[in-house]
Amino acid sequence: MSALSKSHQFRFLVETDATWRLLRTDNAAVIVALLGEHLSGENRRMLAAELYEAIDHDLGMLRANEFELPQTAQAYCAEWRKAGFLIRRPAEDTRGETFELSPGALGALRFVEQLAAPRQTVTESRLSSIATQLSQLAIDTDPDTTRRLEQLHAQRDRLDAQIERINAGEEDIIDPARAAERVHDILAQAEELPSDFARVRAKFEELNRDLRARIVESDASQRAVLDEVFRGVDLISESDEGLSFSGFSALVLDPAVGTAFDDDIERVLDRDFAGKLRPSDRRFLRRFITTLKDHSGEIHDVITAFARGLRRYVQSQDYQHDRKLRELLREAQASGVEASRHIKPYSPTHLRLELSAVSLSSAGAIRLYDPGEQNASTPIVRHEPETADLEALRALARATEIDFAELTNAVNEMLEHANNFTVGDVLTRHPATQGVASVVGLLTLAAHQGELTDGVETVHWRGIDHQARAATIRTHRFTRRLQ
Amino acid sequence: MNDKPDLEASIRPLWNGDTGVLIEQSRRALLELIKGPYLSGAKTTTLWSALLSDEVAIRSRLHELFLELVIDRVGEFAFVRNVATDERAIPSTVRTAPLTFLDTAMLLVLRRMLLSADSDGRVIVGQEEVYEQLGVYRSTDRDEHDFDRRLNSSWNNMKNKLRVIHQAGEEDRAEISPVLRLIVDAEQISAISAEYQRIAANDGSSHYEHEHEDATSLESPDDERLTS
Repeated sequence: MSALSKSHQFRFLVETDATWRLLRTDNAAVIVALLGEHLSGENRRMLAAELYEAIDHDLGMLRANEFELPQTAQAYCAEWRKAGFLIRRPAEDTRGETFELSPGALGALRFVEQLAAPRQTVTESRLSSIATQLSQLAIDTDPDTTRRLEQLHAQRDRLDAQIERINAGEEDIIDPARAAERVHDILAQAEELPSDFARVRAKFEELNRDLRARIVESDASQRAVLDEVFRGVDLISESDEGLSFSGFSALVLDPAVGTAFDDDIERVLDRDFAGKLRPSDRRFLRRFITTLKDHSGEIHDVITAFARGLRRYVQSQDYQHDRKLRELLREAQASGVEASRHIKPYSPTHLRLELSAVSLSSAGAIRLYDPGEQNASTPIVRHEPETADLEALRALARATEIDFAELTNAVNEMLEHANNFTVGDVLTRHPATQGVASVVGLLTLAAHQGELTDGVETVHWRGIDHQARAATIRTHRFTRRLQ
Repeated sequence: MNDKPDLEASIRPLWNGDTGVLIEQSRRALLELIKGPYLSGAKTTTLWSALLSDEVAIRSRLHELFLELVIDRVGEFAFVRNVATDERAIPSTVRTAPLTFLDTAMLLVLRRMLLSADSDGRVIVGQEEVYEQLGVYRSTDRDEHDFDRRLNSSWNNMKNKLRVIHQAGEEDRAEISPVLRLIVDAEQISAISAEYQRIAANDGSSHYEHEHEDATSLESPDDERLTS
């Protein structure tokens, strides 16, 4: 039976879960790539117009490479928002709206990333971290104090033993490979946090909507909600999500924890093995606490705004007003349907709406057209075209390009007298006219059409600044005419 | 917030020959209110705080123009409307705009959208959602394409003339003005309901059109400008 009930449950998930739905769409590859590219980096929220522009640009490139994507970025984003992959919110400081990934889309992105670049999940560090957590849990939950003490003593003994070994010079630091593995493990866990934040926020929004709906719509449960809000119970902060989030954010915002965290990161990044980390990983670690603070600060604001709004909503009796208004609107819209059969949509009614603006127009605002304003005030300078100076053009070209013709001639001329000489010999006979560019040019010619030997030689030239320079290079020999 | 009697003395003129009695920010707030459609505390914080601290004086300046100041402190917006009084005949400084049938229906949809959203947040809606809800008003004999054109014209009316929605980012997205909460109130909704019932009862639009012509000529004094 369990397979049956699970199948039912999963079939439901296939339909309703945004992560699963995204992975099932025909364009899943493109969606994950586009959304991952623009919304999962450091900027997790983007103005709609900017996102359209970025995606349109990418769509053009995709179409050129035989991806069939007939719609515009705007249409796709609208589709993805409907499907629950994107969340649209009013932008805080501008007129428009922003897009960000939904928790579901974040889940899908992470899943695909895992497929594309699988991290070893059964690592030593993960196992040891589970073991540590387990033993800590066993200690913390043990009702018997003597046993708890016993375990703590055992822990202390292990530490003492370790201290002794270090004192005796026996304890060795872990090797770089294992250290790097641990860092990757930590990063993998840390990267899951953004989707946790998105989920928390979505959860709070749902809770808020739900509470409001309960206040306005249903009578029976409404009493309970109202009573609780009146009694000052902060329903949102006191919810399970609220409690676990506040525990987390207290930890993040604790200055001591934050400083210790930053110090530890600084120390880890100073270690030799950390040099192998990707720059993006290093940046991620450095900014980690700040990022967490930003995210949890934002969620804090959301919770506070919701809770305050909800309390005000109830206290101001707005909900009663709203319930009445809802009723009136429903009635009006119903009679509207009836009326629509008797009137043309564009026909005027007896109703007027009072505007809230005074249209300002005054003869004083009229300005006479002054043709004088159109006159150009600066005199026109005429540039006479001149005949191009071939030498000047050549000098210009030589300043930006290696003169291969000159180098080839020099080599071929030397080949008339000898059939085996090096790059250094050429430079002695024909000093570099373009500085290091000539040397590079000769080496390029020799690499393609000459022979590479095992020896090294020192070549000399004068730079563009006329300073003498020298370099030791692998010896290249010219043995035949250059093409 | 007391109107200081020595206000005039304490105000430094803004330009040579300036006889105004408000400080600069308050004057800007006053102008914003008159230009409309509303002064938003979220968008213009300095003007909003000027309005709150100079409320009495600004209210009084507006009274001189036969205007009443409406402030929603929770929603943080303010706007002006004509003073309503029976004591004497006074000019209408702000005009009223006639509404077509579809305009009224669209107003109801917008008002309902405001209602179902959070009471304090900004509400941004898509043209498509609004049109979808108005689909029920298309009688079967009306061409869909034609109906869409009517919808567009109402939408533009909301945006440009009534100014109860403002473009938000893209062409087909709009923010619903918070003012709509107060101007389309229970009373206005009931009035719309009554009008609908009247239309349904008075079947036969010819009679109606005739009636309407009378109505326009009667109501035209409302359109009288402040300056005329």
